[in-house]
Amino acid sequence: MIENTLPEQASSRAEITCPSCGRFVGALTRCPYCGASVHKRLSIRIFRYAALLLGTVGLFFLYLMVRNREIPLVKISGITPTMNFAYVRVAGRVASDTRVYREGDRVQGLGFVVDDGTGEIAVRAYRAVARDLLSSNIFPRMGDRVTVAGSLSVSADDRILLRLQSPRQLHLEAVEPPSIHLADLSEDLLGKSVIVEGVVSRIMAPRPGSRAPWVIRLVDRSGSADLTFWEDVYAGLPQRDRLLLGAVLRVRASVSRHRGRLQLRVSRSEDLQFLEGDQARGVSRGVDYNARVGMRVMPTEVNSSLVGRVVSCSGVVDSLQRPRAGSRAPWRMRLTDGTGSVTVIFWDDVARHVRNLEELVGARVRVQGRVNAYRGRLQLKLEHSRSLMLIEPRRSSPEEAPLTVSEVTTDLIGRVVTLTGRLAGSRGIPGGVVYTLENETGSIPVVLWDRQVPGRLRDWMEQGLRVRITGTVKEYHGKLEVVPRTIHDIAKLP
Amino acid sequence: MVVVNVIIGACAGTLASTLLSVLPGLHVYNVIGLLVMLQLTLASHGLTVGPEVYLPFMTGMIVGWSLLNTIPAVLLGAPDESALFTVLPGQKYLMFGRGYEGTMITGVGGLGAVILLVCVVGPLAPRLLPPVQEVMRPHMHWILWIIITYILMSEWPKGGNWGPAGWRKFMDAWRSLGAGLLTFLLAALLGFILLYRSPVSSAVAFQNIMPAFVGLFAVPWCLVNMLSGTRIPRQHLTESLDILPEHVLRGVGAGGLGGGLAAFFPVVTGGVGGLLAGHATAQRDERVFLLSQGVSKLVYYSGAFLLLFVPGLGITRGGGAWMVRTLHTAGTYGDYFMVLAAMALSGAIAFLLMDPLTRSVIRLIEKVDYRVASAVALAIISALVYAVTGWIGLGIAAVATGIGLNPVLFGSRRLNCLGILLLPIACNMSGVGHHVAAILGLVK
Amino acid sequence: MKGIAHFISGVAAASFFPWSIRAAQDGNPLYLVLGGAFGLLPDTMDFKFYRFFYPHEIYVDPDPRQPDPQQIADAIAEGMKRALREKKTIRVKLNTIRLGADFWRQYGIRFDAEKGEVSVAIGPVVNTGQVPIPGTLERERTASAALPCRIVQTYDAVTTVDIFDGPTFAFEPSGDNEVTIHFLPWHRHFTHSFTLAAAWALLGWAIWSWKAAVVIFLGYSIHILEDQLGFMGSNLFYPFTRKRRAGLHLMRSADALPNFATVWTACLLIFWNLVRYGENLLHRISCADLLIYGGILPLGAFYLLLRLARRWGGRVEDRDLDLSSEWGDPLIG
Repeated sequence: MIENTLPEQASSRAEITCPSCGRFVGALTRCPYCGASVHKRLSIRIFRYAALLLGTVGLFFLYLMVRNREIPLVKISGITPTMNFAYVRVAGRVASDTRVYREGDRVQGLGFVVDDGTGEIAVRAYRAVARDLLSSNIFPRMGDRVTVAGSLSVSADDRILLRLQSPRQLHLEAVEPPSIHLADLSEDLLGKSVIVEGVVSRIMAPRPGSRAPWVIRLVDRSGSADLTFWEDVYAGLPQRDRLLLGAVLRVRASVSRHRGRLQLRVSRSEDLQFLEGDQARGVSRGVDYNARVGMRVMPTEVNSSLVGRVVSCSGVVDSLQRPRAGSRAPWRMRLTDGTGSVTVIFWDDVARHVRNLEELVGARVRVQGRVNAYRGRLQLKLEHSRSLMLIEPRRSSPEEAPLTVSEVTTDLIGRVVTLTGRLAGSRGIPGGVVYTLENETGSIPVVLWDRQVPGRLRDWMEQGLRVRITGTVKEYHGKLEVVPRTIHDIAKLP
Repeated sequence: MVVVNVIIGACAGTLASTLLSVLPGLHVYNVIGLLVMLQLTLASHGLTVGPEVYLPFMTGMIVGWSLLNTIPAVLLGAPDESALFTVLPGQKYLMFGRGYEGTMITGVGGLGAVILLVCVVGPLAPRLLPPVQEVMRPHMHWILWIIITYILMSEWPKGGNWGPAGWRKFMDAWRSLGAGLLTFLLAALLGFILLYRSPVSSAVAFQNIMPAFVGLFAVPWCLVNMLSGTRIPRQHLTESLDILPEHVLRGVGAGGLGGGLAAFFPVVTGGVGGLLAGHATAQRDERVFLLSQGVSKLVYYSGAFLLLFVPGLGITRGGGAWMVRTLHTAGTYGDYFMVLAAMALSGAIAFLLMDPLTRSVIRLIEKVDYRVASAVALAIISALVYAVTGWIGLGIAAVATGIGLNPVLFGSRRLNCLGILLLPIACNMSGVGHHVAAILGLVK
Repeated sequence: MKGIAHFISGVAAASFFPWSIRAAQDGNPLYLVLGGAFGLLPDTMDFKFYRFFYPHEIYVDPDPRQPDPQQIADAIAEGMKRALREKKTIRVKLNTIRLGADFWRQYGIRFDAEKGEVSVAIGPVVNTGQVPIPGTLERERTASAALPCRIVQTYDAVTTVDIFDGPTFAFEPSGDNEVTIHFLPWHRHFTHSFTLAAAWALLGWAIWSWKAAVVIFLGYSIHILEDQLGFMGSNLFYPFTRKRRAGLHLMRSADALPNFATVWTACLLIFWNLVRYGENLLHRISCADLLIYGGILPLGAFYLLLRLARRWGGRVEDRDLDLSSEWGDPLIG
């Protein structure tokens, strides 16, 4: 029989074997074979109970203690490297715009700077915390008073930031910024938020793929200033179709300096409002918009005295020339109004954003562009896709007059026709909506598919409205219907 | 001159680690924390020590400690089967009088780790790790979750092996598993407390977690030794080790894998990495196990430290790196190769010191009762905790001790104590940490 | 296979679905965790729940001080007799012989169909790593008992009993004077069936979504398929099938190389799926990069070094005794 334990266990053999059946039981206090109790040293028993007690009750008391403990409030200037990982509170004023970091359409974080009078600290919220803040509409803005708690991250080169671990630990006291005139913009307002109102006199859009911001020149009675915002703000504008020259805006922005010039920075889409009606008129009254922006001219009135100025011009697109693949040449559009014509040029960065560009041939449009001369020829240069507005879509054949409903027969199946009439009602169908067009000779269904004419573009189509519709004649379950391709195929009639 | 400073720093750090290493329970990160505080204090008085001195010094300490700490881990602790459920391989060697051999085998593993880090990882890391990190970065959270899941699911019941089928047998089996789950949850709760409402003074918050780790791991080890009723038998000093090159290679493979995982992934420690690699490589041979333990420990601590300096990587892993980050911004190839050089030098010195140091400790334990040594170690680490974090730190350490004793005394895995970091950080990374903290009432 | 291989295979399977990775990128680890958890669940159910409730008719409990091989052999033979007499399946549990915290007396059981007998041999003391302690193999003590009938073997002829929980044999009367021997009848029974996988999947669907159901089913099924590579097989369509379908005999559950290969391959596949679904990655990683840096180079280098190590220092002995399943491997000789 060999030693059945580790060497030197003889001193505790009685404690590791069952006194009843003699089998090895090790650290157990009851023999698993015969059920006999196995005596252990008092110290071992005490330790077992003490461990359980300390680990459970002790932890519970520790938990109670910390729950009632205040998170320490610290001064930013008093933060030292040994405070790395400390959970602290900081109170002060938001000293920067809040920046939202995205990857694709996912919010990955947000950050802002807090100044407590003794120094500044960057505050960061990541992922779910950042998303929770945004969804709860908690968005610190420059000038707001804030108390925020989180864990400190202190690394070499005095890089200190406060990581917000929970949205509940950010207490914001929004401070309503003052309304000012654009001429009152000054150095004193640097780092503060203000509210301004004005008319859009220039729009400089970033090229696709560029990281440059949008720059909007705003004009009021007192003067002008530049607004800047990034693509994420533009993408979040609910009415960005209305961001055109001449639009009247109310903006909350923070005052900053860029290359020596003061500018107004917009950090949220919600901070940019389009004014309408009396409010808009109140703002734009007295603003020499046309003179600043440019006048409306006819194509024949574009002359060399207007070189360098922005003008607005309307007409029918007579031709559209696409540049050769790989070439640096611009798109060339000829605009004519029956009295004359003018050449309008734009590059791919504008063309890319114009929907159904090639279908504009024959359509009536208005353009806003800068007059320039190239090789002795005058042309209008468009800088922005919003500078090209469709007034009236092309007809199926520019000479053809609209048909009456009764003239739409099975012979026309597959052909494009134009009809006029009144919208007599609508009903939803899977993937779209069917309007009924009525005129004196009858009624016909007009089908608009969501994928071609999204719902929001149809909002203005109310019952009783007089419209002109161009579309393809089709047959469905034995009945004829007209299917327009785009919203531009539907025009409101006076 | 820089080269001389680096050599002196690395040698000094390694020699300092010898003093540190023989004290059981004392962790190199505790001492590095003190050094960081010292450096900051000196800087505030206008006295600066250049990074070409303190970085190699710290590297030397970490490498030296990783290697030499094997000595007290194997030699200064006799398992008492009346108190413990599991006997570790190193302890088996000790109890059969082969403690010297067990220590040296582990040391060989450590040397293999240095060669692995310097000759393989060193040249390849700047090229391979940045793309891997970029791919893995958004996925660290679920990696922690699957590690947690595996740790909890893979623990095997120790009891329930005897007797008729039924609930009694089931409860007998689940006693140890229940202790494991309880340990994990208690540790996790402690982790949430320390993460959101640490009672440790914010002035020394960079050592927030130190009292808890001391309590979870170091103090139970000391206490169990003091409790033990076992005598350490006479140790035999051998002239050769019973290992083949194949054992070394397998040990380096398994340990490198485990230590590497632990170094690269946040929160994953050497123990977790060792568990995963051990399971993945299906080790059985205790010699390979000891070798891999030596490799894993050194790769984990030194590798994590090294990652701070890998150009183009930009990650911080391990307590040492986090503390050094407050002093120095790394990222250049100069720093990287300096640290690699310091690692190579200190690894060689530390391995050469293993033999005389092991023999000295063996002579010591023949004269001094290991229980007394453990009591002294306990006093030292308690003093250290008090010095850095005060009474509240000692209180946290006491609570953590209660949690850390559970696995030892009730037969579950000590790894479950890592719930202190694993669960809170996994929750935070997944974005639910603040919800859990709110439910616990830790955020208002 | 070992638990980690099953677990990581489940995670790898889950990673093939884009919703798993996209959810993970959004901070939701659900699908990947489900894949891993259900990859390990079949064995968890068996070893941590079911086996404690599995009843036995006969318990063989050798005396740790003087284990008697004859007593063991007689008890086994008696179990077979009882099965024939009572015309029902008799389950015999063989307990291990624990001697210390790290010591177990090993013994082996051999069913010899030709001789019509069962032999028992008392082996050395082994540690928990199943490594024999030198000098503990006493003079050979064997015994045998005649079997009362013909036997049909469904598993190994020789079973080693050593650490932790001992094995179970089920003796099922299967014909005229014939008994079929089932090894570990409680293992890989209903828990390792595709029907249960489907049931778990339905539950997952009810709790979460069909996506969770897919991941659950696949993770669970991967475990079953991996086990079919071995010897024992599983009862694949319980309750529609009643017996385990034998495996392909390609590997043993704890063979190191297949386990490691599975884990390594699964990790590479997971990484590859992360690359595939990664967004805005600056570094381009191709399949070839992964194969070379993740497979060929490290494993090739290790293999070369292994050959060098063996040439230089000799080969590590293959152990006669268990290096694989804790449930026993054939004793040689």
